[in-house]
Amino acid sequence: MSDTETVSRSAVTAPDAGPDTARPPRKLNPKIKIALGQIAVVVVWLGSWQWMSGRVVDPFFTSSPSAIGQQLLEWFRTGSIWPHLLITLQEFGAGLAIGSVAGVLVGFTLGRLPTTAAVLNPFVTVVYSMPKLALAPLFVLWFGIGFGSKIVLVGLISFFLVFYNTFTGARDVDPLFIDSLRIMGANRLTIYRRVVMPSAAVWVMTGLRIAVPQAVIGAVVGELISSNQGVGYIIANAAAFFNTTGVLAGVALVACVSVVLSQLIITLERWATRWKQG
Amino acid sequence: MPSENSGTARNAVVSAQAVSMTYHGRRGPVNALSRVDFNLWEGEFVALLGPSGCGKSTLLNMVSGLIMPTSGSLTYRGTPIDGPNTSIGYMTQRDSILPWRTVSENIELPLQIRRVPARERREKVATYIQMVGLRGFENTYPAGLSGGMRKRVGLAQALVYEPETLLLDEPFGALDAILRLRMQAELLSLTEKLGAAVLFVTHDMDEAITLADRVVVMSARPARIVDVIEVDLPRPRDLEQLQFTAEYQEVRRRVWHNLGREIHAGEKEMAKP
Repeated sequence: MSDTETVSRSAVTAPDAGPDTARPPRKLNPKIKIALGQIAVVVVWLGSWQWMSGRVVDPFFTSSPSAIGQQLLEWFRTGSIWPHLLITLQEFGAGLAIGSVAGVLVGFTLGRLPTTAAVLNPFVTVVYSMPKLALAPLFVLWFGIGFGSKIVLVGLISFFLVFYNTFTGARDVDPLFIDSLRIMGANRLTIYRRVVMPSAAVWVMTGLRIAVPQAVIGAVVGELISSNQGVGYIIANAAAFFNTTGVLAGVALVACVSVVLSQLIITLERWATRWKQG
Repeated sequence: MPSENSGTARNAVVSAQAVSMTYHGRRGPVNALSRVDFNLWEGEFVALLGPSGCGKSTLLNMVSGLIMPTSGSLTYRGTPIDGPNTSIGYMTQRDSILPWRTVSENIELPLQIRRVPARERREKVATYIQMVGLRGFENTYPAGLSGGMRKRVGLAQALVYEPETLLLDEPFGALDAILRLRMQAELLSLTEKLGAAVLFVTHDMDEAITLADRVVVMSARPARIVDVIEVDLPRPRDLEQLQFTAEYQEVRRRVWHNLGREIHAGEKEMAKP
């Protein structure tokens, strides 16, 4: 999680040099400096872990980076991980798609109905604050141990994140833009299409960006609780046999997948809000 | 009000009678505008001149139909203004161009809304981009423009559909002196060509006199009309030379006299505990 954050933030702040600000060259490009620092952190972290494993602590408890790497290689060499990874990705994709489409629709609708929104506000806040992962066992009870319960969990998590942001965005529109279009002779539909939707798109994208890693976690936790397939199942299975290496390799895999998906959504977000860069 | 009805066949575009505006601020009611009587005639260029924050923008907002007067009657071509006035082009004081549309997309927007055919839209947009000196920035988003450039996009947007009345709220405030003079000249020739009536808010006395047929001097809050000064300077005007003529100096003296009194009144108001 925190890795994703650092990566995205440094990537966002990097292109700050405007088109007309030609600066004199510096000794070391700050981008390279940051990258070197990040590599140093990884080397120190993994190196000390590797060194301590077997010397200071029993690898039964902590495994080691090399063992985890080997496990990952093994999974991909034999291809045994693919069906599980695919299942997790499908749960993620289907849940995120359903949840975010519903979130956008409900968010825009309630954004237009201020009274209804005010009535629902406290309830939305309660449900929003609820730890939805804690409901996973109930979803298994209601929707079975297969695909369904995971999609519901992922969908619910994505829905609230996207809905909340869309709703905020639909109400955050600068009234000056709306007034200006009314004078130009625009009707409500045109104002909606030309002002409210593009203005709220920024918020929708923020909601999606937050939802992606949460949706991955949702899919994996859903599998951890009860399933017979998916990366979460692999992790749970390894844990049942006290296979530390298997658990950590699964977790590392999930983290990598999450980072890749987050980068994709960040790219999409930057494309959709490219007007911010001028 | 001197010689308000001297023109025999002229029609009022905007007509205000005893228009007042009170709104409820955090510290109780605020009197923004007090019993304003005023006509804007067809094809006339009127400058509203007064201290900052005196309610000039309030008057424009009322003419545009975005807010209603608390009392009095305000009509547009004889009809009470009770909703967004689509006969006008309004350039607000704050940027109202859409940040997610490029320069040309923003200027094109009012034409799109009015369902102007695509080809005509492209021609008009090109003409007005040229006029406000933004050639080469057609595909730039507002975030990539300076404050003055964004103002010019706003101006082009208000002009592009060639409305019969223009409301311009300090349109040239953010421009440098040379560009400002050029834009003023462009605005004059365009409004003369279109025969558009202009209500032009400014706190720059020289700008008011060089551009307008009449200068309406307003007082500090609550805004009242203090004086209406006819600017009998011939048209078309040579904006560069105008300021050095004796007639210009005479008008300026009169405006200054009134405005100076208002500034002092405003200061006394502020000095009150």
